[in-house]
Amino acid sequence: MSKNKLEPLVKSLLFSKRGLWVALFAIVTAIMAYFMSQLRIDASFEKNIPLKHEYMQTYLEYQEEFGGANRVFVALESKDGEIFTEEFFEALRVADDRVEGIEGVNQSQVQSLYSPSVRYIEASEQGLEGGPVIPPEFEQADKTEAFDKVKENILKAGIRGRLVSNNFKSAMISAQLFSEYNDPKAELKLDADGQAISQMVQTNYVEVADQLEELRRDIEAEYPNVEVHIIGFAKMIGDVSDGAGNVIFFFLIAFLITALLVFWYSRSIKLTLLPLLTSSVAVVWQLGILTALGYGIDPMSILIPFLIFAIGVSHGVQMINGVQHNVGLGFKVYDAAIAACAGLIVPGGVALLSDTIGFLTLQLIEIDIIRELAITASIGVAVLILTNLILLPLLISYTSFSDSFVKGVQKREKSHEVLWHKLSVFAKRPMALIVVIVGILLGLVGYWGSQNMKVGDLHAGAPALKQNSTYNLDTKFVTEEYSIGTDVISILAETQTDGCTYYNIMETIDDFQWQLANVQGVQSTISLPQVSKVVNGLLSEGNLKWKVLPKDEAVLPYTIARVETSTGLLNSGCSVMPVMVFLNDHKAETIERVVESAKSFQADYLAKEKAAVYDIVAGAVSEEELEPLQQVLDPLLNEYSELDYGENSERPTLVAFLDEKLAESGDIEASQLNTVTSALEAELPESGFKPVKFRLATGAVGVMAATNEAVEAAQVPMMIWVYLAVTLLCLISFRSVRGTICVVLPLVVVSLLAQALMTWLEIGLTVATLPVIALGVGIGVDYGIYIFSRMVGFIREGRSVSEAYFETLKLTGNAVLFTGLTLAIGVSTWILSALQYQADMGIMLTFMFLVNMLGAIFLLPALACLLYRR
Amino acid sequence: MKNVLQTLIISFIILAAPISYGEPAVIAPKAVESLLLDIVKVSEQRLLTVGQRGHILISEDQGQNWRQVEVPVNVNLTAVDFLDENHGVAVGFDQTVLLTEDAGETWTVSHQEVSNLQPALFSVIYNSKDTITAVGSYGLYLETKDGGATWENRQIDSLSDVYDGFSHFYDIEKLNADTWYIAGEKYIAEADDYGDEFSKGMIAVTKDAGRTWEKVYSPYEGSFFGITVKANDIYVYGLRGNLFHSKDGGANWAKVPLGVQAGLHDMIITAAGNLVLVGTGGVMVEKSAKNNKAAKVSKRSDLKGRAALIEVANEQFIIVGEGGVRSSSKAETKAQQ
Repeated sequence: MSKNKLEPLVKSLLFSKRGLWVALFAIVTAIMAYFMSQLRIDASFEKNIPLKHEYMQTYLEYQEEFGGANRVFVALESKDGEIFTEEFFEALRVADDRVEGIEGVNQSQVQSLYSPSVRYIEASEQGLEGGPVIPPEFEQADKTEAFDKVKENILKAGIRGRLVSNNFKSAMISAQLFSEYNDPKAELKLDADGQAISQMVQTNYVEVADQLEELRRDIEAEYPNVEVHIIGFAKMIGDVSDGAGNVIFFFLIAFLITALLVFWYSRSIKLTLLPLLTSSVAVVWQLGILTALGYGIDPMSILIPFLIFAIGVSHGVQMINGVQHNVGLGFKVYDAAIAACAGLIVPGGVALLSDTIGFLTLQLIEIDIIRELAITASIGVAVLILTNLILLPLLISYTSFSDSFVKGVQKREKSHEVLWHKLSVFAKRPMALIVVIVGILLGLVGYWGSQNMKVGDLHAGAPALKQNSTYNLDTKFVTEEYSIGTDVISILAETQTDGCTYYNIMETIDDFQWQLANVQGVQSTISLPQVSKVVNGLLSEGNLKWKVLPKDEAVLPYTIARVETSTGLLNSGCSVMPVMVFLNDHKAETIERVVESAKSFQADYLAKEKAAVYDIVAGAVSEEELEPLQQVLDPLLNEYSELDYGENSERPTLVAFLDEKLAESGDIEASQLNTVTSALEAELPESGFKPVKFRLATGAVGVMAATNEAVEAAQVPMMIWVYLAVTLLCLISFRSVRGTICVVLPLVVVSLLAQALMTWLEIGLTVATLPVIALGVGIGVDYGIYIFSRMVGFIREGRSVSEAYFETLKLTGNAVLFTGLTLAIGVSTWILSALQYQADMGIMLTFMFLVNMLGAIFLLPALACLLYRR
Repeated sequence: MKNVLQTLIISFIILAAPISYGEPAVIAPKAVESLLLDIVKVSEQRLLTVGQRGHILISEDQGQNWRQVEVPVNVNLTAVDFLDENHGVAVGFDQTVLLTEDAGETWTVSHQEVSNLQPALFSVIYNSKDTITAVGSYGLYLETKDGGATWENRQIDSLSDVYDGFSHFYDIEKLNADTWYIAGEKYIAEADDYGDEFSKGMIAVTKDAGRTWEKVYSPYEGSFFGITVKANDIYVYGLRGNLFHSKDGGANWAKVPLGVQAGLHDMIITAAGNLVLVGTGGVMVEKSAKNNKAAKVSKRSDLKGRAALIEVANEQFIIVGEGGVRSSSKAETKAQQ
C-alpha cells in the first residue's frame, strides 16, 4: 500500500494516545447507555401528518369541534344472528361504559345505541314525535316487544349502517380521541387569579390501544356469543407498536448471520467481534443522543438503529480488510491499523458524510415522523465516523495475529486474484461498452417502470399492517358490514354565522354533496342539507314530495332546529357544516378523484358567482366600461373569495371590501366605483358574494390526502438535494468531474430501477418508502466511493483503467462484495416483519444495497474505461 | 314609426334573451338511486320516472336499465303524465311545468314561477292536445288551454277552508273526459264559536272538465296523499294507513283495513283487479279486491319510503321512491306478515 500522508497525523493524534482514547470512548458509551435506558416509544398522530399542509390547517382548526381523524370504532358482532338478545345488549352497554372510561376519549362524542344523543323522529297526526332509540322503559319491558321497538327506532333514526350494521348482526360504539386532555390524575393547581391551571397531557395511543384490547378480551370472555372488532388510528398504532417489538427478533437473526459472515470473511474471532462491538457502540450512542436531545423513537424509525448497525458492520469490514491486507504485506498489527485508519478515514468519512447528508435531505419533507427519522439516522451515521473509523482501528491495534493467520490471509488474497482478474474485464473494451449499454437500457426500463409508480397506500386497511392482520380483518369487517368506516374525508363548508338559514348557502352545500356522492369510489355522504330535507318531509306529514330543501327561509330554520352539534353536522354558530364523504377504500386514485371533484366544484362555483357579479355590473355601466371593470374586479373577487370567515364572521361585505380596495388603489374613478357598489348593494343576494367556502379536509382520508400530496411534492426536491449532495461530495473528494460521473450515474440507474420495482411490487410512495429512496442513494454511494477513491490514485499514477481496477479490487474488492452482502442481509430480515411498511422498507433497501453494489462493481469501471481512455 | 321599430327591437331582444330557469339537471351516475317520485308507462317499450334535482330517467327494458336524459331545470320533479306515446308533461317545485313531444327524450320549460306562497306542483293530468291541468301546494291550480303557450293560475274558491285558505292538493286524477278528482291535505272544514277546529281530508270532483269544482263528503279527518278512480270505484288514501272506498261517487265510504300505519302515497288496481299500495317506511300492501283475506304487507328492508308504482307484468311492479328504482321481484322486499 502506498504511503499515506495522513499516517503521521493519525499516529500522533490517535494511536500514540490510544489508551486515553479508548477510555474516553468507554466513558462516553457508559453515559450514552444510561441515556438509552430512558428511551421511550413515542407515537403521536400529529407526527404522521404534514401539519403545514393547507388541509391540515383545516384539520387543526376544527379538530376540537368536529373531531379530527382520530376516531376509534368498536364493533360488537353477534355470532348467532341479529343483535336483539339480552346478552348482546348487556355486552354493548358494558362496552359503551368501558369506552367512555378510557382516558383520552372525548365522552361527549361517544356514540352508540345507548347514547342519549342518538334519537329518532317520525311524523304523526299531531306533528313530530321522537325519542331515544333505546326507550327509557327498555330495562323493565318485555324484551321481545322492546326489541321490535328498538329495531324500528334504529331504522327511523337512520343509524342503520352507522351504529348498527346493515344486516343487524353487529352494533358499533364510535369514540373520538382528544390529542391532549386535562390530566384527571394531576393535583389541582391554581394560578395567581385562583383559576385552575390546565394540565394537559398528551393522549397515549399505545395505552388507549392496550385498554381497547383488554376490553376485547373481557367482552369476548364474558359474552361468548359476541365478537369484538376494533379499528381506528389509536388501535392501529398500538398494533404497530406491538409489531415493532418483533424487530428485536429480526435484529438477533441479522446479528447472528452477520457474525457468521464476518467470521467466514476474516477467519478470526477477534476481527469478528470487534466490528460488531463498535457497531453496537454506535447504536448505543445514537439512541443515547436521541434521548438526550429529547426525542423518543416511534414505530417507524425503530428500524433505523438496525440499519445503522448494518452500515457500521459494512464499514468495519472495510477496516478489517485494510488491516488484514496490511498484515498480509508484513506490517505489525499496530502499524497495519494505523495505515488502514489513515487510508480509510477519508473515503470512509466521505461515504458516511454522504449518508448523513442523504438522510438530512429528508428534513425537507414537512412531516415530523420523516424528519425525526432523518435526525435519528443522521445522528447514527455521524456517530459511525467516530466508532468505526477511529475506535475500531484503535481496538484492532491491541490485537495480535498468529503467523498461520497471516499466511492464510496471503493465500486467500492470492486465490481471489483470479476472480478480480476476471472482473477487471469490465474496465476494458469491448466489455465496458456492452456493460454501459446494458446500464443505459436498464436505466430506461427503470424510467419507464417508475412512471407508473403510485403515491399513497395501494391497499385497503391500515397500510402499516399486513393484509391478514387482526386489525385489517377488523377493518374489512366494518367496511363490509357498515356503510361507513375509517375511510372518511370531511370537507368543511365555512360560511357566515347562521349560514344554515340561507337557502342559497344550503343549496350550494347540497349540490356539492351530490357531486361528491357521484364520484367513483364514494360509498355514502352525509351533510346538514340532507337532514333538512328529511325533516321538511316529516314536517309535512311524511309526504315524500316535500322531501326537499325548503326555499322559504322562514321554514328552513325549523328543519334544522333540532339537529344538535353532537351529530358533527354543524357547529354552534351554524357557520361551519362538514360534508362527510365515506369512501370504499383509501387508494390514492380514489382520494385524488374526490379531492379533484371538490376542487372543481369550488372553481365552478367561484366562476358562477363571479358571472353573477358581472351581470349586476353590466346592468349598471355602459358596454365600453364593462370590460376594463371586469379586469379590475376579477383579481379582487378572487382575493375576496379566499378571505377567512374568522371566529365572529369578521369577513367584510363584498361592497365594503371593494370600496376599501378600490378607493386605495384608485384603479377606477370614484363615481364609477359608486355606481358599481350601489348596484351590487341592491342586487347581490342577502348572503353576499360566494357565501360558502369549502375547505379540504379532515377525517382520516383528509389526512391521507394531505400526506400523499406532501409526499409527492417532496419527492422531486428530495431527490435533487440527495444527488446534489452526493455529487458535491464526490467532486470535492475526487476533484474529478469524470470520476463523479462514474460514481453517480450507476446510482441514478439503481434509483430508477428501485422506483420501477415499487410499481411492479405495488408498493406505494408513502411516508415509509419515501425515505428509503433517499437512504438507498446515500448508502449506495458508499461502494462507489470506496472503489473509486482507490482507483483514481492508480489512474493518476498512469495505469490503465483496467489495471487500476484490478489493483483496487485486490485492495477492497473483497470488502465491497462483503459490505453489500452484510448490508443486504441486515435489512432483508425485515421482509419477515409483521408490519407491512417494515417489510416494504426491507425489500426496497435489500434491492438497493445489492444492486448498488453490482452497479459499483460492473458499471462504474465500465464508465471509467470509456471516460478515461487516452 | 320609429317608436314602433324601437318597441319591436326591444321585444325581439326580450324574446331572444334566454330565459333563465336556474340550472339544468346534472347527469349523474347515481340519479337512478336518488329520490324518485313518480313513474309512468309511456308505451309498451318505455317507462319513465321523475324525481329530485330534475332527474328524468327512461327505461326501455321494463325497468331493468335506466338512462338519465337532459332536463333544463334541476328542481325536484314530483309528477309526470303522458297524453300519448310522445306527448308528456312533468311538474315540480317552483311551479315548474316541463313538456316533451318526443316520448321524454327532450324537455322544454313551459311554466316556472318562484313563490314561497305556492312553491310546488304535485300532480298533473294531460287532458288533450291543448289542455293540461296541474295542482299543488296551498291550493295551487294551473291550467293551459293552448298546449302550454299560456298558463292560468286559478284560485278554486269552492275548495277553500273556513278561513278562505287552501290546503295542499296532492293528487289529481281523471275518470273520463269531464269527470276528474282531487285528493289532498286535510283542511279546516269547520270552526265552532269556541275556536275548536274540525278538519277533513280533501276530496273534490269536477264534472265539467275543471270549470267548476265541488268538495266530496270526506270520511277522514287526516290528510289524503292520493286518489285512484276506475269505473264506479273511487279509492282515497293517505296518512296512517288509511284507505277508503266508495262505489257511489263519494256519498258513502267504507274503510278498507290494511293493517299498516304508514302514510300511503300511491295505489294502482292491477290487471287482475287487486289493489296495490306503497308508502312511507318502504311498505307495499297487496289486497285482493275479490275476497276478504287480510292484506299482504311487505317492506323494503331499509325502510326507505316508496312514492309510486306501476305494474309491468302480471303482479310484477316497478316501484320508485327514496333510494331510486326497485323491482318488486327483488329480494330486498321481504314479506313481514
